[in-house]
Amino acid sequence: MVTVSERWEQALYVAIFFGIAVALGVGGLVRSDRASSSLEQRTLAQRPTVAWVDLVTGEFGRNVETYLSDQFLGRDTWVRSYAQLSLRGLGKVDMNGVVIGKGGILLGDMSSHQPLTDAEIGAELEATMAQFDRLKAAVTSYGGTLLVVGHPTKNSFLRADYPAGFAFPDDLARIAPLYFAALKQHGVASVDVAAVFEKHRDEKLYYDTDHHWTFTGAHLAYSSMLEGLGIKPLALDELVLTTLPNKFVGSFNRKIAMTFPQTEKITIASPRVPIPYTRVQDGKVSHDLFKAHPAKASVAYGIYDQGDRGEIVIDTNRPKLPSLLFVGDSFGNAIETLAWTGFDESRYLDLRHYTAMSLLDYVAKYKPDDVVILVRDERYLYRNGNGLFTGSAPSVDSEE
Amino acid sequence: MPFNSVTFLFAFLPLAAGIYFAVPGRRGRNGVLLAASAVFYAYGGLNSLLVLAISIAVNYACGMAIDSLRSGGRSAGAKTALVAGVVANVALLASFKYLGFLASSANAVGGLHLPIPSLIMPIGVSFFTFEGLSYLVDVYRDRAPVQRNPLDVALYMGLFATILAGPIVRYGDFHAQIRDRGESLENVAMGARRFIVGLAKKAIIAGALGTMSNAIFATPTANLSVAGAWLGALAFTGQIYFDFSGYSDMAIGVGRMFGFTLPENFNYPYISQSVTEFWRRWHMSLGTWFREYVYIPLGGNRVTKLVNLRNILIVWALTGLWHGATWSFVLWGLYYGVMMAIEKFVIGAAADRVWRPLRHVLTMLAVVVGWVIFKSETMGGAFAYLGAMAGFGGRALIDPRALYYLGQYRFELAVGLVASLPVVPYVRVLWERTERSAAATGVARFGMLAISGALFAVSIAYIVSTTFSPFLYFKF
Repeated sequence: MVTVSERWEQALYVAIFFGIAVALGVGGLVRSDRASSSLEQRTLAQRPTVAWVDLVTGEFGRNVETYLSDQFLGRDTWVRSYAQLSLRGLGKVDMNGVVIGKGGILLGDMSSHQPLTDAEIGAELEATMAQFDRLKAAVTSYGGTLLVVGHPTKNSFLRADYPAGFAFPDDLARIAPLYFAALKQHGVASVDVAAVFEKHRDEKLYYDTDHHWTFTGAHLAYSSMLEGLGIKPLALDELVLTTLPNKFVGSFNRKIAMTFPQTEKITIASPRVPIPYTRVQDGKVSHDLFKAHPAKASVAYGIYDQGDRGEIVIDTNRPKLPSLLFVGDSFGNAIETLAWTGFDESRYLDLRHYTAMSLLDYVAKYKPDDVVILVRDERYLYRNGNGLFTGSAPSVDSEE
Repeated sequence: MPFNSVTFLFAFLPLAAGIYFAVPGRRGRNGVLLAASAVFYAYGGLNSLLVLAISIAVNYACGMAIDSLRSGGRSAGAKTALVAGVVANVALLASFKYLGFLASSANAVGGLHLPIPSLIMPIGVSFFTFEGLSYLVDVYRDRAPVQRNPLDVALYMGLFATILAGPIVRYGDFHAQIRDRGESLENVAMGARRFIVGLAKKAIIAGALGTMSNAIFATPTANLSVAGAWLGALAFTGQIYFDFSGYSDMAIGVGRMFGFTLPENFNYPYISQSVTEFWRRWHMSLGTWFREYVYIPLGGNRVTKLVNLRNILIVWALTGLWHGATWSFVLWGLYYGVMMAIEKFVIGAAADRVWRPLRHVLTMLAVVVGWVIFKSETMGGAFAYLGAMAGFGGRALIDPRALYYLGQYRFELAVGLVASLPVVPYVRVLWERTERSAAATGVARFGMLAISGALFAVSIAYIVSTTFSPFLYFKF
């Protein structure tokens, strides 16, 4: 026989279960849809359209699930709670591809990396150098200079900070010396930023909460690059440095729902002696070297050179200076905001986004005096995106 | 539409329950359930719904034919109708699940070049086909009445609570519930509680252990330490239990909300002291099905030892094949068949003289080895992994990665260990034996309610935040 209190208990169970389910379900549906999530820094799925083929294959059901999940009532709070519970509550050290390293430094999880054998490295290196041979031939055909600037990633440079059980892959670590030796053998000039960084190891070269380098790291890389081209870089005292008061959103911290306190700030720089310039970004005039950053807005590394762009052309109208073609990913964005000061016309390509022509065709068309390829050490053997010189098949990397 | 999806939890289930209880009368409510089941299954694609509809139609027609021929005294005709129905069900299952396997095996063995068909297998086809077979056999044996309304056959085979991954309900045990079942506040409450337990098992424990086991099994075996390999195997042992028993809890809970009593699928299998006992506690509805519809019809154990051995091996080869169309699964099934045959014909009663903890350890060893075979994609992969567990190849005993997994998943491993033991029933018995005040009872009830609410909230956070992970048994 069910007592009154048991009946109350049962009613409470039903009320809690269905109350939560209905409240969250209805709440998510009646609220207007969000286009994107600032916490997750991604666009959110919108109400799916009904198509017969999707109904037949089940794609519609999957789209509905993605939509309802993305537009779930209080999604940011649920995501943040999950991250807090996992990282703080259960003491986990990795989540969504981010590893909490020694001293709370956030690093990339490389444990899913498929290691290459020595034979595979040799074959990949050969194919990579074949591309450089073609690029070098194209650049030198009109008297230009080719320079490869290789730099360590945060994962690589701070590999000692990985917690026990994680490591930077051995095979990637083995590639760097082989890569530079091969470039030398093929007559391609290069700069290994890792060697420069080693001399400045006690400085903060990478953000704790982002996978990119700090302004200090970027300036060191920029200086090495210009010295490699025989051009004097702007020293720190020739620049006006501004540390933005805005909240900085680190890419790694973002992946773990901003679980770590975000105290870091971003620094931007401009030449102390102003240099007039025009700037064209993906075919449109856009003067600003930095993404707009109103006082209350949070900023990310993408502020540099307004984020990843297919093509940026900066012209200082100083014909006596050489011209530059710079190819690189997001690490190059911070360098670009400094490098233009040393050239007449400088062109910046991100081949993950630039599709109009291949790099070889671009070189043949514009004949820049200096061609710089910026490449991170994890991508030395990567022949896609910014590592593909002969085709126009962009590949947007998972990392900015 | 998986039970752990946002669509099911926050749209489908509240809506289906709301309409169901708003509609009066059995016929109306069965209609709501059937419509809801059609929407639920069509979520995975209308093409799958079409296959289910064909299966239902065939079983309905064959059931009617069996009943009609038998009532007309034409038992041979009824048997022919039964055989036709069985062949149709097996053909349906084979065409979606086994055709590619048969063709590739024929190509490999016979040097043929048969094209390998790649039909998309409707989710749950193994489950609803077995229920269709159960319907025909039970009607033929006159253990349950034929359903004259095809919608009632559809409700039995297509009920959304069981269609994706069981429990496999025998028609003889279910048919009465089509017309007579008890919906009540108590059943809805108990169903909700059971559902939350299952959801938490899946979201919190199985998800984490799955991440761990997938990562370890993806590691080249040459790079695994002995401890790392064991951790991977144990993680999968936990994952598959909490994944499938969690699913079963949710299915039983959902069924109970709508007044159905579905069969239990698990009874703490990891406390077993023999492989035979393990399979009496693991996926019980499948074991019961094979015993009822294959093993006993083959003669069961009321035959000579040799025929009994044959029967055991046939049942377990089929059990393996039911789980997947690869030779690894056949090997896995036969592995258990051989184990059981050894226990039955070689060890026999001598097992009772072995120290109970040792029996338990040996049983779990056999089970964990079985899961490695089950998890590995190829037989070669399984043997390589088992070699790593055994320490072959001069590998390290332990490595930093293994220690990391142990530390990182200590919570889930500990909770998994406790939850795989009958701790809750034990505490419940103790509690019921204890004299207590009304206040203590009230506090305990509130505590259980609070725990359920917290588990539900945490599970929601996991579901919303993590990439959707399907149930392992959906692929069978």
